Amino acid sequence: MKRASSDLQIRSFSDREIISAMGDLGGGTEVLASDLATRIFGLNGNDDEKVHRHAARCVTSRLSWMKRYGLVEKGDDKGTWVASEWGKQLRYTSLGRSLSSAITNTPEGSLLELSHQVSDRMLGAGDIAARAMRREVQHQITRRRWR
Amino acid sequence: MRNMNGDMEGVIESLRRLKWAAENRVSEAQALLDQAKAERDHIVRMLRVAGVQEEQPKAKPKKEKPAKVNEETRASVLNAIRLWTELGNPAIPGVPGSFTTMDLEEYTPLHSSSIRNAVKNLRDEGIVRAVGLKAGMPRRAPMVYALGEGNETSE
Repeated sequence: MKRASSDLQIRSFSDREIISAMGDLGGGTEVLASDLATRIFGLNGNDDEKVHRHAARCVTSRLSWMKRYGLVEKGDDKGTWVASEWGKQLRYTSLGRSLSSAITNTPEGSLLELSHQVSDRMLGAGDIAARAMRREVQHQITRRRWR
Repeated sequence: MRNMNGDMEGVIESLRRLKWAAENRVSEAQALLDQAKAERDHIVRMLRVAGVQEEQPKAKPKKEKPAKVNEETRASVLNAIRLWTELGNPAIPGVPGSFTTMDLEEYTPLHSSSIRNAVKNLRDEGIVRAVGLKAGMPRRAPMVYALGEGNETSE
Protein backbone atom coordinates (compact mmCIF):
# COMPACT_ATOMS: atom_id res chain seq x y z
CA MET A 1 0.00 0.00 0.00
CA LYS A 2 1.41 3.39 -0.97
CA ARG A 3 1.04 5.02 2.40
CA ALA A 4 3.53 6.29 4.90
CA SER A 5 2.15 3.76 7.33
CA SER A 6 2.31 0.91 4.85
CA ASP A 7 4.48 -1.11 7.23
CA LEU A 8 1.42 -1.90 9.32
CA GLN A 9 0.26 -5.46 8.75
CA ILE A 10 -2.92 -7.16 9.85
CA ARG A 11 -0.83 -9.72 11.70
CA SER A 12 0.25 -7.08 14.21
CA PHE A 13 -3.32 -7.15 15.52
CA SER A 14 -4.30 -9.99 17.82
CA ASP A 15 -7.60 -11.85 17.47
CA ARG A 16 -8.74 -10.02 20.62
CA GLU A 17 -8.03 -6.65 19.03
CA ILE A 18 -9.81 -7.58 15.82
CA ILE A 19 -12.92 -8.77 17.65
CA SER A 20 -12.83 -5.55 19.70
CA ALA A 21 -12.53 -3.46 16.52
CA MET A 22 -15.54 -5.33 15.12
CA GLY A 23 -17.37 -4.50 18.35
CA ASP A 24 -16.43 -0.81 18.01
CA LEU A 25 -17.81 -0.70 14.49
CA GLY A 26 -20.87 -2.87 14.72
CA GLY A 27 -21.65 -3.03 18.42
CA GLY A 28 -22.17 -6.77 18.17
CA THR A 29 -23.88 -6.67 14.80
CA GLU A 30 -22.46 -7.44 11.36
CA VAL A 31 -19.63 -5.33 9.97
CA LEU A 32 -18.30 -5.05 6.45
CA ALA A 33 -14.75 -6.31 5.94
CA SER A 34 -14.05 -3.11 3.99
CA ASP A 35 -15.18 -0.97 6.95
CA LEU A 36 -12.95 -2.95 9.27
CA ALA A 37 -10.04 -2.49 6.85
CA THR A 38 -10.70 1.25 6.72
CA ARG A 39 -10.61 1.39 10.52
CA ILE A 40 -7.53 -0.77 11.01
CA PHE A 41 -5.42 0.81 8.26
CA GLY A 42 -6.73 4.33 8.81
CA LEU A 43 -7.83 4.73 5.19
CA ASN A 44 -9.84 7.64 3.89
CA GLY A 45 -11.26 8.98 0.65
CA ASN A 46 -7.85 10.20 -0.53
CA ASP A 47 -6.46 6.69 -0.70
CA ASP A 48 -6.39 4.90 -3.99
CA GLU A 49 -9.14 2.39 -4.78
CA LYS A 50 -6.43 -0.29 -5.14
CA VAL A 51 -5.26 0.44 -1.58
CA HIS A 52 -8.82 0.02 -0.27
CA ARG A 53 -9.26 -3.25 -2.17
CA HIS A 54 -5.94 -4.65 -0.99
CA ALA A 55 -6.68 -3.73 2.63
CA ALA A 56 -10.14 -5.33 2.43
CA ARG A 57 -8.60 -8.50 1.00
CA CYS A 58 -6.08 -8.67 3.85
CA VAL A 59 -8.85 -8.27 6.41
CA THR A 60 -11.10 -10.81 4.67
CA SER A 61 -8.28 -13.33 4.62
CA ARG A 62 -7.66 -12.88 8.33
CA LEU A 63 -11.38 -13.11 9.12
CA SER A 64 -11.59 -16.31 7.08
CA TRP A 65 -8.92 -17.86 9.28
CA MET A 66 -10.69 -16.61 12.38
CA LYS A 67 -13.90 -18.19 11.06
CA ARG A 68 -12.06 -21.47 10.67
CA TYR A 69 -11.04 -21.20 14.33
CA GLY A 70 -14.64 -20.43 15.37
CA LEU A 71 -14.11 -16.83 16.49
CA VAL A 72 -16.17 -15.08 13.80
CA GLU A 73 -18.96 -15.98 11.42
CA LYS A 74 -20.08 -14.70 8.06
CA GLY A 75 -23.00 -12.28 8.19
CA ASP A 76 -26.22 -12.56 6.22
CA ASP A 77 -25.19 -9.90 3.72
CA LYS A 78 -22.27 -10.34 1.34
CA GLY A 79 -18.95 -9.15 2.75
CA THR A 80 -20.24 -8.86 6.30
CA TRP A 81 -18.84 -10.58 9.35
CA VAL A 82 -19.85 -10.89 12.97
CA ALA A 83 -18.09 -12.18 16.08
CA SER A 84 -19.34 -15.65 16.99
CA GLU A 85 -20.79 -16.34 20.44
CA TRP A 86 -17.53 -18.05 21.36
CA GLY A 87 -15.57 -15.10 19.98
CA LYS A 88 -17.57 -12.65 22.09
CA GLN A 89 -17.31 -14.82 25.17
CA LEU A 90 -13.57 -15.29 24.83
CA ARG A 91 -13.02 -11.61 24.20
CA TYR A 92 -15.28 -10.04 26.78
CA THR A 93 -15.32 -12.48 29.70
CA SER A 94 -12.98 -11.08 32.29
CA LEU A 95 -10.40 -13.16 34.09
CA GLY A 96 -11.20 -11.89 37.56
CA ARG A 97 -9.04 -9.57 39.58
CA SER A 98 -7.76 -12.17 42.04
CA LEU A 99 -6.71 -14.64 39.33
CA SER A 100 -5.13 -11.91 37.24
CA SER A 101 -3.23 -10.64 40.25
CA ALA A 102 -2.13 -14.17 41.18
CA ILE A 103 -0.68 -14.71 37.71
CA THR A 104 1.05 -11.32 37.72
CA ASN A 105 2.60 -12.01 41.12
CA THR A 106 3.71 -15.57 40.41
CA PRO A 107 7.36 -15.83 41.41
CA GLU A 108 9.74 -16.51 38.50
CA GLY A 109 10.72 -19.82 40.00
CA SER A 110 7.15 -21.04 39.63
CA LEU A 111 6.67 -19.93 36.02
CA LEU A 112 7.46 -23.33 34.55
CA GLU A 113 4.82 -24.90 36.76
CA LEU A 114 2.43 -22.10 35.80
CA SER A 115 3.08 -22.77 32.10
CA HIS A 116 2.48 -26.46 32.68
CA GLN A 117 -0.86 -25.80 34.35
CA VAL A 118 -1.91 -23.28 31.68
CA SER A 119 -1.04 -25.67 28.84
CA ASP A 120 -2.76 -28.53 30.67
CA ARG A 121 -5.87 -26.36 30.98
CA MET A 122 -5.56 -25.36 27.31
CA LEU A 123 -5.45 -28.97 26.16
CA GLY A 124 -8.41 -29.79 28.35
CA ALA A 125 -10.49 -26.95 26.88
CA GLY A 126 -12.81 -27.24 23.89
CA ASP A 127 -11.45 -26.83 20.36
CA ILE A 128 -12.33 -23.16 19.91
CA ALA A 129 -11.07 -21.99 23.29
CA ALA A 130 -7.90 -24.07 23.03
CA ARG A 131 -7.09 -22.75 19.56
CA ALA A 132 -7.80 -19.18 20.64
CA MET A 133 -5.44 -19.60 23.58
CA ARG A 134 -2.73 -21.05 21.38
CA ARG A 135 -3.11 -18.27 18.81
CA GLU A 136 -2.94 -15.60 21.52
CA VAL A 137 0.26 -17.07 22.97
CA GLN A 138 1.81 -17.37 19.49
CA HIS A 139 0.74 -13.83 18.61
CA GLN A 140 2.19 -12.33 21.77
CA ILE A 141 5.51 -14.09 21.29
CA THR A 142 5.78 -13.19 17.59
CA ARG A 143 4.71 -9.57 17.92
CA ARG A 144 7.10 -8.85 20.74
CA ARG A 145 9.94 -10.56 18.95
CA TRP A 146 9.61 -8.63 15.68
CA ARG A 147 8.13 -5.29 16.59
CA MET B 1 38.12 -73.72 -4.48
CA ARG B 2 40.13 -72.47 -7.45
CA ASN B 3 36.83 -71.92 -9.28
CA MET B 4 35.47 -69.88 -6.40
CA ASN B 5 38.60 -67.69 -6.32
CA GLY B 6 38.28 -67.16 -10.04
CA ASP B 7 34.63 -66.03 -9.61
CA MET B 8 35.56 -63.56 -6.83
CA GLU B 9 38.33 -62.03 -8.95
CA GLY B 10 35.86 -61.60 -11.80
CA VAL B 11 33.39 -59.84 -9.52
CA ILE B 12 36.12 -57.59 -8.09
CA GLU B 13 37.32 -56.75 -11.58
CA SER B 14 33.81 -55.77 -12.74
CA LEU B 15 33.33 -53.64 -9.58
CA ARG B 16 36.63 -51.86 -10.30
CA ARG B 17 35.43 -51.13 -13.82
CA LEU B 18 32.14 -49.75 -12.47
CA LYS B 19 34.02 -47.56 -9.97
CA TRP B 20 36.27 -46.23 -12.73
CA ALA B 21 33.20 -45.40 -14.89
CA ALA B 22 31.49 -43.65 -11.94
CA GLU B 23 34.62 -41.60 -11.23
CA ASN B 24 34.70 -40.57 -14.89
CA ARG B 25 31.09 -39.40 -14.68
CA VAL B 26 31.85 -37.39 -11.50
CA SER B 27 34.79 -35.70 -13.23
CA GLU B 28 32.66 -34.83 -16.27
CA ALA B 29 29.83 -33.46 -14.10
CA GLN B 30 32.32 -31.42 -12.05
CA ALA B 31 33.80 -29.98 -15.24
CA LEU B 32 30.30 -29.03 -16.45
CA LEU B 33 29.46 -27.41 -13.09
CA ASP B 34 32.71 -25.43 -13.11
CA GLN B 35 31.99 -24.24 -16.64
CA ALA B 36 28.41 -23.18 -15.75
CA LYS B 37 29.68 -21.29 -12.68
CA ALA B 38 32.33 -19.53 -14.74
CA GLU B 39 29.68 -18.49 -17.30
CA ARG B 40 27.40 -17.19 -14.55
CA ASP B 41 30.22 -15.20 -12.94
CA HIS B 42 31.10 -13.73 -16.32
CA ILE B 43 27.49 -12.61 -16.89
CA VAL B 44 27.30 -11.12 -13.38
CA ARG B 45 30.50 -9.14 -14.07
CA MET B 46 29.05 -7.88 -17.36
CA LEU B 47 25.84 -6.80 -15.60
CA ARG B 48 27.88 -5.02 -12.93
CA VAL B 49 29.84 -3.16 -15.59
CA ALA B 50 26.53 -2.20 -17.25
CA GLY B 51 25.47 -0.64 -13.92
CA VAL B 52 22.73 -3.17 -13.05
CA GLN B 53 22.38 -3.60 -9.31
CA GLU B 54 21.67 -7.10 -8.16
CA GLU B 55 18.75 -7.58 -5.80
CA GLN B 56 19.95 -7.61 -2.24
CA PRO B 57 18.41 -10.16 0.10
CA LYS B 58 15.73 -8.55 2.24
CA ALA B 59 16.95 -7.39 5.59
CA LYS B 60 15.59 -9.47 8.42
CA PRO B 61 13.27 -7.60 10.76
CA LYS B 62 15.24 -6.06 13.54
CA LYS B 63 15.02 -7.85 16.82
CA GLU B 64 14.22 -5.39 19.49
CA LYS B 65 14.16 -5.92 23.20
CA PRO B 66 11.06 -4.44 24.81
CA ALA B 67 12.04 -1.15 26.42
CA LYS B 68 11.97 -1.22 30.17
CA VAL B 69 9.45 1.18 31.64
CA ASN B 70 9.65 2.05 35.29
CA GLU B 71 6.63 2.14 37.57
CA GLU B 72 6.54 5.95 37.75
CA THR B 73 6.41 6.29 33.96
CA ARG B 74 3.76 3.61 33.73
CA ALA B 75 1.64 5.32 36.41
CA SER B 76 2.06 8.72 34.76
CA VAL B 77 0.94 7.35 31.38
CA LEU B 78 -2.02 5.52 32.92
CA ASN B 79 -3.00 8.78 34.62
CA ALA B 80 -2.72 10.64 31.31
CA ILE B 81 -4.96 8.01 29.68
CA ARG B 82 -7.49 8.46 32.49
CA LEU B 83 -7.45 12.26 32.09
CA TRP B 84 -7.80 11.95 28.31
CA THR B 85 -10.72 9.52 28.69
CA GLU B 86 -12.49 11.85 31.13
CA LEU B 87 -12.15 14.66 28.62
CA GLY B 88 -14.48 12.76 26.27
CA ASN B 89 -12.67 13.69 23.08
CA PRO B 90 -11.82 10.32 21.52
CA ALA B 91 -9.25 10.10 18.73
CA ILE B 92 -11.74 7.99 16.76
CA PRO B 93 -15.37 9.00 17.12
CA GLY B 94 -17.41 6.08 18.42
CA VAL B 95 -14.52 4.52 20.31
CA PRO B 96 -14.74 6.05 23.79
CA GLY B 97 -11.41 7.00 25.33
CA SER B 98 -9.43 6.23 22.18
CA PHE B 99 -6.13 8.09 22.02
CA THR B 100 -2.84 8.39 20.21
CA THR B 101 0.43 8.72 22.11
CA MET B 102 0.57 12.34 20.89
CA ASP B 103 -2.76 13.04 22.62
CA LEU B 104 -1.24 12.02 25.95
CA GLU B 105 1.70 14.42 25.68
CA GLU B 106 -0.33 17.28 27.16
CA TYR B 107 -1.25 15.26 30.22
CA THR B 108 2.14 14.00 31.30
CA PRO B 109 5.55 15.64 31.56
CA LEU B 110 7.18 12.56 29.99
CA HIS B 111 9.05 12.61 26.70
CA SER B 112 7.11 11.32 23.70
CA SER B 113 9.39 8.27 23.32
CA SER B 114 8.79 7.31 26.96
CA ILE B 115 5.05 7.60 26.39
CA ARG B 116 5.30 5.41 23.28
CA ASN B 117 7.29 2.74 25.13
CA ALA B 118 4.91 2.80 28.07
CA VAL B 119 1.88 2.44 25.78
CA LYS B 120 3.57 -0.44 23.91
CA ASN B 121 4.11 -2.21 27.22
CA LEU B 122 0.53 -1.53 28.31
CA ARG B 123 -0.59 -3.11 25.05
CA ASP B 124 1.56 -6.15 25.76
CA GLU B 125 -0.03 -6.40 29.19
CA GLY B 126 -3.51 -6.24 27.66
CA ILE B 127 -4.42 -3.01 29.43
CA VAL B 128 -4.75 -1.07 26.18
CA ARG B 129 -5.51 -2.44 22.74
CA ALA B 130 -4.69 -1.17 19.27
CA VAL B 131 -7.76 0.14 17.45
CA GLY B 132 -6.22 1.07 14.09
CA LEU B 133 -4.39 3.88 12.38
CA LYS B 134 -5.79 7.39 12.63
CA ALA B 135 -7.32 8.32 9.30
CA GLY B 136 -6.77 11.58 7.51
CA MET B 137 -3.31 12.32 8.85
CA PRO B 138 -1.11 14.21 6.39
CA ARG B 139 2.05 12.28 7.26
CA ARG B 140 2.69 8.99 9.01
CA ALA B 141 -0.61 7.95 10.57
CA PRO B 142 -0.30 7.25 14.30
CA MET B 143 -1.79 4.18 15.93
CA VAL B 144 -4.91 4.76 17.98
CA TYR B 145 -5.28 2.86 21.23
CA ALA B 146 -8.15 2.36 23.65
CA LEU B 147 -8.50 0.80 27.06
CA GLY B 148 -8.98 -2.92 26.55
CA GLU B 149 -12.47 -3.37 27.93
CA GLY B 150 -13.35 -6.84 29.05
CA ASN B 151 -10.09 -7.18 30.90
CA GLU B 152 -10.43 -6.34 34.56
CA THR B 153 -6.84 -5.17 34.80
CA SER B 154 -7.82 -2.23 32.60
CA GLU B 155 -9.94 -0.92 35.45
